[in-house]
Amino acid sequence: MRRSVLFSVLACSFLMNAACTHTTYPNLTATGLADLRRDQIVIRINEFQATVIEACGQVMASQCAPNTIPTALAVDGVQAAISARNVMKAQELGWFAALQQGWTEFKARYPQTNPVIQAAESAVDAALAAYSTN
Amino acid sequence: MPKISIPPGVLVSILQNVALPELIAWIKSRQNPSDPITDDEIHTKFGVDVDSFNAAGLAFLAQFTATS
Repeated sequence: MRRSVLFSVLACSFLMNAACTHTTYPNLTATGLADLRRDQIVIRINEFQATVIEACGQVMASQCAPNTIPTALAVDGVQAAISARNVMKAQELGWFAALQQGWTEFKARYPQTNPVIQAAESAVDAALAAYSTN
Repeated sequence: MPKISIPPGVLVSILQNVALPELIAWIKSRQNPSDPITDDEIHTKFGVDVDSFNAAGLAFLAQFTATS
């Protein structure tokens, strides 16, 4: 039985991931859908932070590793991620507008040429867009 | 075998944040594992990870402030 449950969950997982791009969740309540979209924003922000930290490489003398990303981008990017999470955690209402403003300002300061960070930013953008159309 | 119902999409969120054994253990520990799992129940139980990522971010930033 344990194996059956495992296979069921894994099969569901695969199908859900495949369906994820369509972003339709017919069985969710409005509250559940909003929670899901909100969770997706946090997840994408977490991934963005992890991407920035990885791209910075080994920090030495308060600088990202040579030939990686600008140190200012790394510091500001991680600060932006922390700030976004704190806003979401602290504000039950109004968090979305505050987060969106902070995120837009961050992106304006650092127009991206790094494709990996650009992709992580786009994922956050997509999660924000999905929430706003919720 | 009990039929387990998890709202579509929610499972994706969970699996990005929770190890599969933890999820299965939680399902089995519910009073009646065959009851449908609600989205509210899922979010109350698991939510998404904020604190550990904040801690990781602050640890990263500390490398820049330590010598400045």
